[in-house]
This record gives sequence, structure tokens and C-alpha cells, in this order.
Amino acid sequence: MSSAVPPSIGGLGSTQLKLRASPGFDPLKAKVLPEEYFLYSRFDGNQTLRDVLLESGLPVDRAIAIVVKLRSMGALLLPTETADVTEKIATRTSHDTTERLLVRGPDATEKIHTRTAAGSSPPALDTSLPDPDPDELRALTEPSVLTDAQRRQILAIARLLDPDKTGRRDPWALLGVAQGSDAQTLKRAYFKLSKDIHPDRFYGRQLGSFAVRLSTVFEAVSRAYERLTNPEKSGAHAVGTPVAETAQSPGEYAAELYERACAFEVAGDHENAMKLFAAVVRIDPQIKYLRRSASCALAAGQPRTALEHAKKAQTKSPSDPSLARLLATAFRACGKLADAEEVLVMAMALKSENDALGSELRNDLAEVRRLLNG
Amino acid sequence: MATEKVIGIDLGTTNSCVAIVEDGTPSVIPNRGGYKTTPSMVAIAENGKRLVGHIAKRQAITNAENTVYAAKRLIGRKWGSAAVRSSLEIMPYRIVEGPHDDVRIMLRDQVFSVPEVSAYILQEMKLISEEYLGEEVSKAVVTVPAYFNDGQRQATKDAGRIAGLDVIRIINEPTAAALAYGFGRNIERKVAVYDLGGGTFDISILEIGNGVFEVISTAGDTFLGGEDFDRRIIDWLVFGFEKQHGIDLRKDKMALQRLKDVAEKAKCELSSVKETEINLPFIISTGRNEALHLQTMLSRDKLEELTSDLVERTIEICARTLEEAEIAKNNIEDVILVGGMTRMPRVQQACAEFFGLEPCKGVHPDEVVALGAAIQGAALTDEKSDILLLDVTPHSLGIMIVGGYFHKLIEQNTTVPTSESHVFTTVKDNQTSVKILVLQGESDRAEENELLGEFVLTGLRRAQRGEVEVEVQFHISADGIVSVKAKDLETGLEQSITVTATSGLTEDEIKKMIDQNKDYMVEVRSGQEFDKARHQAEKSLEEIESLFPQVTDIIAGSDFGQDAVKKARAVVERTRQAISAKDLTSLSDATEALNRTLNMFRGVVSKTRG
Repeated sequence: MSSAVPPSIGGLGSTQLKLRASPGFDPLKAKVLPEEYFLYSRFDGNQTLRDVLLESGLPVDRAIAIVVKLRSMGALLLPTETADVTEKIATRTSHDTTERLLVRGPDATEKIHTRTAAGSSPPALDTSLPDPDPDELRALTEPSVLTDAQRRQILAIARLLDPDKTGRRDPWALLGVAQGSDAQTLKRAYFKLSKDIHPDRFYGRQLGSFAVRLSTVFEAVSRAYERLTNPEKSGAHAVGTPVAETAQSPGEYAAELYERACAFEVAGDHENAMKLFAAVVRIDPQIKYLRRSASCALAAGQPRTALEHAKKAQTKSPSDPSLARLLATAFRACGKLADAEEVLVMAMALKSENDALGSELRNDLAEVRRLLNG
Repeated sequence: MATEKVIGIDLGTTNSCVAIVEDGTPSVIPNRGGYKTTPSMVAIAENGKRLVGHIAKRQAITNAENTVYAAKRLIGRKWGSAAVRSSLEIMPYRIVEGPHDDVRIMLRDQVFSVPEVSAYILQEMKLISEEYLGEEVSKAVVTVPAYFNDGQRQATKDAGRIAGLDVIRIINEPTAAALAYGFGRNIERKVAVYDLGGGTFDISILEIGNGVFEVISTAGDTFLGGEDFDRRIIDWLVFGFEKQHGIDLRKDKMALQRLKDVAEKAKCELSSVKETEINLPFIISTGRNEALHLQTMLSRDKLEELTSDLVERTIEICARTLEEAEIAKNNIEDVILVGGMTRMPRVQQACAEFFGLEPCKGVHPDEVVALGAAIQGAALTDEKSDILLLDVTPHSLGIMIVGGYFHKLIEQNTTVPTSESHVFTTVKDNQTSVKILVLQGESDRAEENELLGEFVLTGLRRAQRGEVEVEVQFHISADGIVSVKAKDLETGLEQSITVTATSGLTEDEIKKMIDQNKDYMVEVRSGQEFDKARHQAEKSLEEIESLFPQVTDIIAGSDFGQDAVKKARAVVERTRQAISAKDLTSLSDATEALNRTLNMFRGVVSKTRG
């Protein structure tokens, strides 16, 4: 029945991933079903998802459904995730909803909310300012035209900007909207908030330390809005995008594509393999992928691509003679014999032991020199 | 407490207009003659008296040389700029060079700066409003074309100061138009403002909702406006006259002024009629005691033919602006037309065709900008006002880096207030100071942008280049004031400036500064083209040289050791040659091989160490 396990599962990614149980998840409080608990207990971080599914003895479809559900409850962690992401999900599962300023989890979090809090209203700003520091205390009492409520609002938003106090900057929380809100909701929230905190609203009036605070807070809100509505333009500054937001990390996606590319290559379909390999190394340029892609490109008759990928791989691990050989072969395929010779000579010099690879290098070098001289 | 009244002034190229918000209602203040707009003209009469507005316009024909119009085209410009060059040819008044590479105007042996001339117009607008309100007015919001740079904005503010007005805010004309359009209406939509005025064309996209006006994007062309349309008519008339009589009317200043008047009049008439007669009797004397007349018919079709490329250009700018802002045409829910030129049927038609909707007819193209300025004035000072403008910075801001490149820190169309910082490093060994040149513009080359100010940060630690880190911070306040701070990250030493006025430096002078200040330069972590490539190559060379003895020791024993060292030497040599030849392509090639070798060297060393 192994063929029934798909290479990937929506919302989770490749079935080759090694998921682990989240330490922050409490199955008793979440009231899972026996089957669910059984599967949950199998995720030790050492087995791939595929293996867990197969070994569970459950019908694959059923097992997948349970895994998806567990994931949505915050019970499972992807290899790239840290425990706190799901801990936060789990915390909210069991506690109240006042801590809404925390990073929100994936869509599934909403479901948890509905269970505990009946409805998912956007996160409300906590203006109670627990444990105010001296600076905040001063700000609350200094002379200024601002009302107490206005001061608290500005200080509470300022707290959101401070990673020490909130963990990470969350653009959604800054704007006071639920994560994943649509463009219109975002815009309305931004406009409404701007009316509260834009410095022009207090033009020419006595603001004390709030003159600077307003500017800082508004700038952060305006940047958060820009980031959420125009991610491409502000991509360079992107921060605080929760890990759980994407169902599959780029690394996982690359791994999945890589497997498919290898399958094509084994089947002799170099052209399709190359299409995927090219994508793989673009997403995740690790040596393993680059090496395989470069050799496949040589077989596919794409020497330029081969050279490009071989160069990248060799740069990453310059003292690996086998990568040097691959690079030299790619240079040769591109007609750059002098470069090929140089690389081979260097590789030979690096190589201390005289093994099979050594003699291969030696042969290659002789061949290249023959071509150079002939 | 009655807050002090703030007037809104649309200081136009050809006409100006003043408005005020009273009891929550914005309205235009008519001048003594009952007109809602006042010609932006200043003249010095024979008796030395200063004339402004309608009086100046009426005597312009007989006193062309001493009557200034379209001063806005010159304000804040440098003597060497293209705008000034072209104005020299077409303006009947004398334009001379000022002491700071700026522009001065000569009227009856008296020299005026451009802000002074503009100040006379602003003063007139101030007087108009004071007479109407019966009280003194000292604060104003003044509008400028969206594409005005900092120098032009600053000069406009200076003009206000000379006129006794505190210009509390400068806003863009299309933005002001949108404020007037959306004022008092509970709307939530994306709008485009198409502003074709006397001298400039601007296009802005705004998002309006809940009393908030967010400028999304703005762009324009400073050399495209109603006067270009007039000039097409003038050229056509002059050409026809020359063909008929062999006389170039442009050589006669009075004839030129009459042509200008008649062209403007004909253009306006053709917005409502299909054909108009142009009649200029006694336009020029032949020198044999007889005078020639100019009489001809101009049709709307002919005018459209003469100016079709100008209209086309505005549409192209619209398309480009939407594209850059990544906004689909069909997301625009209303188009607001601003500026007298938008009365031309062909312009309205082109807009309707492009945006796929009928332009909004609710606003008065001549008055809407002043109304918007007044609304912003009230928004800032009247606590009851529920309007907020989220304005943007019109141009990118940054500093000059090594090689004379411009490194942007704040992109244009960023909502203000805003801040941005970036870490730069020293370029030379033992460099103890850096000079920060603050620039504004969109070009990659520093000298093609406008210099806003400069300062030097000294007292840096003596160290190898690239080791000392300097953080440069930009801040733009809500009222558009730029401040820049440079900080030595190691010592915490700081230097800063607030950019208040522009110096009158030419491109040549900036170029000269680039040469003179080489020792002061800073560099972006990732520099540009050759300089960057050379810098990297030099770093690699240094490292590889330091590794040579070690590596030679290690590999000389193997079969190919000697060979490899020889190869490595050759690569080093090749890189050196490429650097001295200043050839980017061969340097890139050589650097690639160099880095490969260097990587292997590193590998060898770490292998034996490990």
C-alpha cells in the first residue's frame, strides 16, 4: 500500500519530513480521540511522516486526515519550526484569548479559537500597560494635551515594537487585525489607527515626549501596512512573518521537487529533470542539489547550466576534489579548457591520497592538456 | 478659543487662487475685481511702481520686458538647468545669473530673486484674504506640483516668508485636489487626479476612506503644461506668418507677447467652439512705414493635431504611474481633472478613454487646488476637523557613496513621517573621517541628483578599510523636513544635519566635490560595478598573498603542488592586470578564478589545521 502515500500533503508539505510532537501541546486538554492520540504519540522526530503513516496500520486516507487535524491543533512541529510557535497555539487552546497580541498561528488557529472563545474577533490592544517601566510612567504623567486613553494607546503600540516585551514584531498585531485579514480590513484598520496616531492630528500642540513617540509608532504602523499590502516592495525589510504562515517551508518544497527531479532523471527524462533541478537550486542552493543538477545538466546537454551549478557547488566546498572534477568537466563542456586545466591542477594539488578519484583526475588532466596542446 | 485662520494658496504658473475653511465649509476668496483667480504676474511700471495680478496682466503687452509671468517655472531652479535655458529663449523679461548659481530677474535695472517675485503674488493673495476676512492672516498652506524637488519647495516656503506668511505646510497640487474632492463626502475609493496645469503635468493616485487621504503614488512631468499647448499655436502662427511675409515674429518681444495672449485665448475658446478667428492687426512693422497684420482661422481639429503628442504624453505617464504602483486601471473608481488645460475636450476624451470612465465633473479645475490647501490648513489647526492626509515623499533620498554613486535610503512615494538607516563602511585604510552628501533624486549617479546638504563625521578609529562601520539614519517628518544623522557604531560618535535650504551647486560642482572628497567617501557594503569588483578583487588578492607561503609549504610536496602554485600566481597576475586596465569584464573573469583559487587555498589551510 506504500504507493498510496502521496509525496506531499497540503498544509504540511513533503511526506519525507520528520515531524515531531510539540512539547507545548496537551492532548488531555485538547480532548483528542484515541486514534488521534495514538498517531500523535508516534511522532518522535526520527521517522519521516511517510513512515509514520505507513506504520500506523490505519488506512492511509484516514491517517492523513488525522495528521492534518493534529497539525491544525498545534500538536505537530515541522523540522524548521521552534516549539514556541505551537506553544503559543497550544497556550491559547487551553487558556483565554486576552493574549491576542502574540503571533497567530496558521488558519487552523482560528478553529481553536472558535472552540474556546466562540468567534475570532481581531486582537484587541491591551492598553492596561501592566508593569509600566519608569519611562512609561513618566509618559503617563508628563504635561501633554493627550488624554490618558490616547497615551495608553500609543504606549501600548510602542510595546508591540519592543521585541523584549512581545517576542517578535507582528505586523498584523500592530495594525490590530486578525492575521490573514483581507486588503479592505487592513486598509480600514490602518486609516482608523492613523487618525489616532498620525503626528498631524496633534499639529502644533504640546505633546512632550509623545512628539517622538507618535512619529515612531506611526512609522512602524505605516511600515507594517506597507509590508502587508505590498510585500514585494518592502520584502527586504520583512520581519515577523510567523513561521507557521506558510504550510511548507522553501526547504521542504525544494526537497520535494528534488525527489521528483531525480525520478525524472532516473527515467532518462533529462529535460524535465532539469526544469525541476533548476527550480530546486533556485529555492535551496545546497551542495547536494547543485551537484546532482550539474551532472544532470551535463547529461541533458546544457553545459552552461552545468557550469553555473558546478561553480556554486564548488564555491561552497572548495576543498572537495570531486566537486572540482565536476567543475572541470563543466568547463570542458563549455569549451573553457584553460579553466578546466587550472581547476584540475589545483584539485590534484589538494589531493593527498592516491585513490580512484585521484587517477580519474589525473586522466582528466591528461586529456585536457592533450586537447589544449592539440 | 478661536484658532488662527490658515489660508490655502494655489500658487499657479499662470493663475493663483486663495481659499479658506470657515465654519467647516471651504470656499474660494474672490479678489477685488470679483475674480476667483488672480494672474500670477508681477510687473514694474514706468514710475517704478510694483503691479501684481490683473493690473500687471493688462499692461503686459506694452511693458513686456518688465512683466514677469510663469515665475514658477524658475523658482528653486539652478541657472544651468534645462528649464532656465528654455525660459531664456521664450520669456520676454530678462533672466540673469544670480550669485549662487540661481536665477534672478531684471526689471527696470532692478534685480529680483525668483522667490521675491513669487512673494509679491503670495502677498497679493494674503491681502485678498485679509480684506475679505477683516483680520490679519499670517499662516498658509501652499501647493506645489507633485514633482517639485526640495529646492523648489524650499524656495516656495522662502517666498512665503518674504510675503510675511508662515507656510505651515507645502502640499502637492493633485493631493490638494483630492482633498477638495473627498471633503465632506463619506466615500471609500481609489481615485486618480489628472492635473494638467499651466506649466506642469502631475498624476496622483490616492486612496480615500473615513476622512483619510492616502497618497499611493505620484508622478509627473515638469516640462509639460498649458504653455506648451500655447507655444504650439504660437509656432504655427509664426511659421505661417514667416511663410507669407518672410518675417520671424519671435524676434519682436511685443509681437511675441501679443502672440502669447492670442494663443492662450484661442486655446480656451476652442474648448467651447469648433473654430476661432485669430486677429492681430499691426503685428509688426516692415520698416518701410507700413505695418503687417496677422489674421487667420484656427479650428479645434487643427489645435488637436498640433498638440496630439502632448496629450499622448500625459496618458503615457498615467499608464507608467499605474504600472509602477501596481494598480490595475479598473481599480480606479474616479478620475478628478485639475488645471485649466483639462477643459480641452480632447484631454477629457483621452482621460475617459484611458481610464474607461467619465472624469468627475463635480470639481472646479481652477479652484479645487486652493480649496484643498485650505482644507489641509484646517485639518492641521482645527481640532474639529476630521481629515487626515497621509502624504508621501516625492523623491527618493540617499547619500553619495564611493565612485560617485547614489545609494537610496528612502524610496519615493514612502508615507511620511518615515525613518530609514543603513550601515556603511570606510573605503580607505586609516580613514578617520567620512563626508555624508545628502542627495535627492532617482538617478544612480550622484551628480544627476539634487544635493540637499553635507556634513563630515570625524574621529573614526584608524583601521583597515571596511572595518569601521558608520550608520546613516534618515528621518522625514510629517511636514517633509529631512534630517540626517551619521553615527560611528564603534564609538557612538554622531553628526547630524537638518536639511533646511538648498545650496546652489551645479552638477559640475558636485562632480568636482566627488574628486576632491575621495578620501572622505563612504561605501555601501555592496558597492557598484567596477569599484565594487575592484574592491573585492583587492581584498581577495590581499588574502591570497597572505596564504601563499603556508599553502606552498603544504602542497609543494604533492605531484602537482608546484604546478598549482604557478597557476595560482598566474591568476593573481591576471587579476592585477585587469585592475590596472580598469576592464570590468576581464576583472570579473579574473576575480572568479581568483576566488576559486582563494577558496581552495582556504580549504588547504583549514584541512591541515583541522
